[in-house]
Amino acid sequence: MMDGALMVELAPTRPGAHWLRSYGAMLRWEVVGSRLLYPLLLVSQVLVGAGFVVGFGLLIPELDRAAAQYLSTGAVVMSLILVGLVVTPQLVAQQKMQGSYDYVWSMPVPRSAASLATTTLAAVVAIPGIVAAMLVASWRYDVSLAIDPTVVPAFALTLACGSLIGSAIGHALDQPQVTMLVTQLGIFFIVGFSPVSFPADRLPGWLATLHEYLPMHHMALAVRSSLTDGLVVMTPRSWMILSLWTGAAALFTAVVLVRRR
Amino acid sequence: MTLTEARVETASAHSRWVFRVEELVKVYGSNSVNDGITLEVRPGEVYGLLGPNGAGKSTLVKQVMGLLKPTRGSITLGPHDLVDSPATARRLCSYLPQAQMPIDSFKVNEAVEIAGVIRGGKAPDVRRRSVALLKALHIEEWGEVYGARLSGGVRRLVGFAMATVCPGRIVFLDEPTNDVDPMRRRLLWEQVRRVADEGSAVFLVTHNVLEAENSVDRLAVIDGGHIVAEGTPSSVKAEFRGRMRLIVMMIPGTPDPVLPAFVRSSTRVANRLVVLINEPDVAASIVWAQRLTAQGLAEEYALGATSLEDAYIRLTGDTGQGTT
Amino acid sequence: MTATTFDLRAPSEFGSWLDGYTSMLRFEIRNLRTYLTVGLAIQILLGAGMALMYGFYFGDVDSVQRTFLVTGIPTLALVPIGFVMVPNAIMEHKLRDTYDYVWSLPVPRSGSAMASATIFTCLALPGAAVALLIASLSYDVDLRVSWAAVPAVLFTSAIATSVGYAVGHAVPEPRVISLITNVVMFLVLLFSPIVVAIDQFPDWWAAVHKVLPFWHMSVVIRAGLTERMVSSSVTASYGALMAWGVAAWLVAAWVVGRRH
Repeated sequence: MMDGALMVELAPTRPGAHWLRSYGAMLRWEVVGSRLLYPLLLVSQVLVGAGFVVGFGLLIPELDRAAAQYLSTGAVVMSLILVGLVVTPQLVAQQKMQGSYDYVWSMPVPRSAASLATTTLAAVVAIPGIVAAMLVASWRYDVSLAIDPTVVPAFALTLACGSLIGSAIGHALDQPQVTMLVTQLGIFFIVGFSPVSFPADRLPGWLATLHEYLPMHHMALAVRSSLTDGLVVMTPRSWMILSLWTGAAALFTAVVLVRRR
Repeated sequence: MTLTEARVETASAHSRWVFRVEELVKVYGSNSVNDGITLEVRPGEVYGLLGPNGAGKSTLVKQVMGLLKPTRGSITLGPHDLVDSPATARRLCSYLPQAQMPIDSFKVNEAVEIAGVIRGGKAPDVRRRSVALLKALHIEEWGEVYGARLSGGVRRLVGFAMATVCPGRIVFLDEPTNDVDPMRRRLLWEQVRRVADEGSAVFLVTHNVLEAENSVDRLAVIDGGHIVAEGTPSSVKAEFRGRMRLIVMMIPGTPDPVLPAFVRSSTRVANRLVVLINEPDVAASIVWAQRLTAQGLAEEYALGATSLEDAYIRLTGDTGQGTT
Repeated sequence: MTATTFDLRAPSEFGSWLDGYTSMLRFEIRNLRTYLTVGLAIQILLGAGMALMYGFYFGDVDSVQRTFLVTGIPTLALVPIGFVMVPNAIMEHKLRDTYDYVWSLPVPRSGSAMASATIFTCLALPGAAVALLIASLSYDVDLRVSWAAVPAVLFTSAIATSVGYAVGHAVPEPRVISLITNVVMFLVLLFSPIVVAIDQFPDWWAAVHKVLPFWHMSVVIRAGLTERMVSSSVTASYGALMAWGVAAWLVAAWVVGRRH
């Protein structure tokens, strides 16, 4: 009944094709594995996306056009950053808590393919929230967007940098509870203490300076400037810092994913 | 190439794929979880690793699969160094971990097929093989059921199917029969044998001694990080050759009876008293057991050959009490 | 060979209930050792952090608004413990399969539940206190702390813990719990009339918050920290919180009592 054809091949004949195949298979694994959650995820993402935009309008009574734009684009950046820095490590932590981590990471797929599959899913799941935020912003505050081509590198770098750091954290921290706590802290820092949804001048001097070197502020600048016209200015220096962070994160992730305890 | 030629070639090719662990050491802090493990498994062989909880069995397997890094020692499969290249290890070895598979939102068919594809099989081959495997395990009726709705036993069998639909050169099974009902256990062992017959080596980790005895070709007993015995089930219990076991079911609540002189050793677990005797003393032991029954201290008794369990208990001191 | 037998006493005896309660307390404390150290640190950080965060979002605020903001901070500090840490801890129990084990222990379930509730309630207090301190210092606000503040904080913490408890037990799927707690943290913390006056909100949203426990928590605590600042009925808010607490325990009792 069983033929030798199913006995596993040793070396993939074409590494590129093998990587793609592995990525596709792992993506399928991730997608089917979270199937039961999709309805709830959709609802919560839309609520959070729209809620963020509406809510701050409630808290801050006089919202002029510029402030509303700032806020709405803040929601977009927030979603993108949170996908990488929070959702991805939480997924890894949950795998560890469920006990399925060992099985998933014993599968013969390149580590990068498996990791990217997780991030792809997280990013796709973030889309409804982003769309909801933009729709609500344009309906309630009459915010309109001026999307320019830099939106592609802005989104790509933000997602890549964030998820590389996030998955490295998820894998590096052995205790999943620690990962969960760290990501909650991360949410807090990003939402409350990063110049993502409010301008940097509101932060105390030392914190604003710190953010000149951390990636979040530059992620926000890149995304915001690609979605609006004249609200903020994205400098070449910011692009460079963002790219450097992405590169460093890639290196860090490569090391962590390959490491064995 | 004719079928015979293919078989001959496969056989000689397979003989290259010996799995070897040499002086494997894994240290956590001051604790030596694996302390110089050496063993060898050939293709087509079912090899068992027995030991109490915490003896280092799962740690050994995780080092092979590249989830942990050995402190010292080597692991090779055929010509490949698995410690050097965990990616090769993952490609050549299949793994069924101790924990249940995370297949809550997968239908059974899906889980097995996706697992096969991830392991590198081609979709139509995998599907064909998956259908046959589920049928052989008598779980095809659950094909379209979601993992969350399965009982622990069926879920374990699905996990087994996922690990063996596209088996590697060696298949690691960590406690495969946990939660599985007796009828399906037999089917699982049949499939384990079949996997071995088709050319893979099978490495079985278990603390269920009785099952291991009937299903493995060779085994090793591990305790406290060391291998304390190795060989075929018969050779491991060789010291008990010429011995028999008398099992006496005591009435609950009765104290241990006074043991006659011919008793070589005894173990009592709850109300089951197992006594080892030499063959010449069989008749005397039956008389003794009958007397216990007549005195109302025992319910029944049975005489049988020594089992691996006796050797295992002597080697490790693990009577299975206090463990699941 | 001895068998361990449990002395099965009638659960109606208070003495034995107390025994069960203290032994589960010890069990939970040991279980939570990681949480206690890390959780306390994070709680204090979070509490102080929230105080500062609002300042960044609001920009300039007058002194009345500042006082309002500062006196809302303890409520914000209590919510993450009760509504996030508690369900997360229960979720972790479930994921690691220790859930069934804990519930099969021969301790009256109410005692066991009270034990974990006690732990979490106390866990929340240092963070709330420190947050309040930092907030009042950073915003230069004078508080009139009355004796009513202490029971107010204890009571609201207990209610938050109870509701989190009910959620943690009633929701079967661990990943759903995690989703719910994340959403709660995000939306409720940012968009509830805790640090700004409720009349700033549209009527429909204010009405939602008169049903939810969060606004009532802030009213009750604010009354204990200020004079003449709270215009709504404090008694009514106590009542609403009581109702939430009772409902939570009923749900928890029902969930835990039924066989699944």
